[in-house]
Amino acid sequence: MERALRRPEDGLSRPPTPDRTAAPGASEAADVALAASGDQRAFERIYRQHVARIHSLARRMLGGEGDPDELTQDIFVRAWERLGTYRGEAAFGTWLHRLAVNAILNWRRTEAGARGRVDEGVDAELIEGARQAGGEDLDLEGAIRRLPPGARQVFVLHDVQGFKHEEIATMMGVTAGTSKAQLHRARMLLRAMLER
Amino acid sequence: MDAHLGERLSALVDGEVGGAEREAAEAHLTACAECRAAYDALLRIKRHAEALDDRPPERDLWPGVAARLGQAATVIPLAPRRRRVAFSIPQLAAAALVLMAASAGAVLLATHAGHPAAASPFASPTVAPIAGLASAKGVESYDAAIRDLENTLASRRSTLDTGTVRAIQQSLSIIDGAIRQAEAALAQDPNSMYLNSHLEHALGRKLEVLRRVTTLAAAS
Amino acid sequence: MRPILALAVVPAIALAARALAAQDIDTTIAVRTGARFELNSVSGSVKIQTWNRQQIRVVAETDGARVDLDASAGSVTVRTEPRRGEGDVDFTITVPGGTPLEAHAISADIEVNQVCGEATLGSISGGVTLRCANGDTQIESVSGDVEASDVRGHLDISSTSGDVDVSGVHGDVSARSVSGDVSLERVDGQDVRAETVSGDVGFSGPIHDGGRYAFHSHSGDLTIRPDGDINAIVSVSTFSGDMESDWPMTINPGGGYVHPREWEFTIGSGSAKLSLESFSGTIYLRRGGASHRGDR
Repeated sequence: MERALRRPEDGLSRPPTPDRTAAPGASEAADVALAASGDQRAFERIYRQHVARIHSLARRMLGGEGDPDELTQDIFVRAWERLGTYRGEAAFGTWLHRLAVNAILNWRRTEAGARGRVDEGVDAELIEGARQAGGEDLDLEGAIRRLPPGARQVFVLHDVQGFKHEEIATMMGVTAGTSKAQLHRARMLLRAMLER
Repeated sequence: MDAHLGERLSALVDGEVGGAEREAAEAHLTACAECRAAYDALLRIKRHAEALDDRPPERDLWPGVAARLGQAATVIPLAPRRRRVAFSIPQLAAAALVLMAASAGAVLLATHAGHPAAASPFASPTVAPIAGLASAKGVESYDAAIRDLENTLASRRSTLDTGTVRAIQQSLSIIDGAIRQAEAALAQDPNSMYLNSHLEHALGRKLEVLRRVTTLAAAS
Repeated sequence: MRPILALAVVPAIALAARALAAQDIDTTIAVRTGARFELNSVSGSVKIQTWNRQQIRVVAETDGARVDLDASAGSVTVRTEPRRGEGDVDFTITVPGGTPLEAHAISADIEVNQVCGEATLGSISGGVTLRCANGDTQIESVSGDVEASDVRGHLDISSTSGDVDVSGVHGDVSARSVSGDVSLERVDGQDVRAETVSGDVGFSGPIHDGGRYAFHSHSGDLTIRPDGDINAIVSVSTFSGDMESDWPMTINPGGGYVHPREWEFTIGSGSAKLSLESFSGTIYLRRGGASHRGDR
């Protein structure tokens, strides 16, 4: 039986990605509070702090489809509108990140869904196409772009952003088994595209 | 049994396989060069993905965002885009609004001239940082944010109905009570991690309530 | 927005109740799969229910408030504009199952039955009741009570002065109040958090290996009843409260003259993290009833 004191867990939400930027901490909390009450300059500071991450997420999730610039702007506008619902219990970056993922997945559902289920394509063709187009310079980012949408999204959410399969399943409306299968498929495709 | 690991490779790479199954898989990896090469490759890809850097967009997107923020504040009927909800209640937007601070018993009047009352109706005795408080800096910035919000709230013509205001003020006074108790306890034991985090947490709750109220009171 | 093959699309309709008589609405709009519904109301009531048709039906009984309806095959948005002195609108909305919903009101109560999609619901002084949701679910009120049952997905639910009642959830939950009680019954998640300041907290459900569970109050009691056997590191923090536990624990408060009591003990393999805090209330950690697995 242990005796050691341990700090009781306060913020239970774990940020899916390790925060590579310096954690702003309390000054960001103040900016968020100000922005929630209408201060646009405070919101601009928040924007500058997070735009690289959100835009990268949008770029990678979309592959070549859609406009990551427009989607990024949509996400921040939506965050502004929803600031009133931010509780302060999770790190703000986590809350924003989750909002972004939902917005991106919803965008796909409305814009792409109308086209009907896009069959994911034959893997061999994808690999061959990637090798020819990329040549020697195909890097991981380029290869991710070439993944079929379902596999790409799961790969970005799991390996790049750090979500777990259960979370991905809930967000995407699939089973955890599907998520795992798509992840494996994505990794195998990437391996094939990147290896000579 | 399957000669090769197939999809379980990914589960292995992610550390999701345990016990006997893991041992069997590792035994297979030792014996099978093809699967081992695949395992190594998938692990490399995963590590590479984890290390990908975030790049900002090539052009500055802020002007596009800022242009749309201005629209978000007003409620316009028939708007196809989602907007932030902010309502005023006409029957309550009288010239003078009496707000009662339930706990303090102070009565403040928003004057006809539009000057905010002497003190914000939502203000409370300031929480002074305590010497020895491990997160004094954290408390100070909470204080600053709390004061900012209280002032913002006071300077706006509040259009919330009195019942809601009363409920909010009651909640704020409950939180203030918790803050005072935490401070008193902390004075006796400044090094307690629980009390430090509890105080900070109570301040955070207060901030959250004020933030929500300020958003609600935003005039259209 | 790319053009979408639309079924009978109803153009924007504005019904201005300039006449003295109440202007009621009963409109049905054909929508495509995945169409969203959004409502902003002030006072009165909002009931949202479901049917098997690929249509959204909006029924509004109003005593003079203006109701604006903006509809397309992909989304239907309803707003009310209260007129001076009046403003009650009673809405009954019928939507296809799974419709993503967003509804906000000032004082109206909101009730959503069996739609079973994503939902974001909020009222300031009204109460919110949600039965059945899938996906991200968010419910809030300032002074009203909030209730959610039969939810699959991430639930975020809060009231400032009202009670929070949650039952039958499969997914992570964050539930908060300031002066109200927070009750989580049959909540099955990996990450569960309930907190209040002066109210009580109750919880029943499984404690999963590797999960994180936190229950906090300032002056209220915590009654935590995990299902079956658990593996957890339990950290307990209190200042002047008490604790009673059905599991054996070694209490070792930090020594000294006046001390808050905080300690930790391990049950089983200590895989999950269970955090129990009440500044002055009593903490009860009780063995739960027979497992409810199989409920869903």
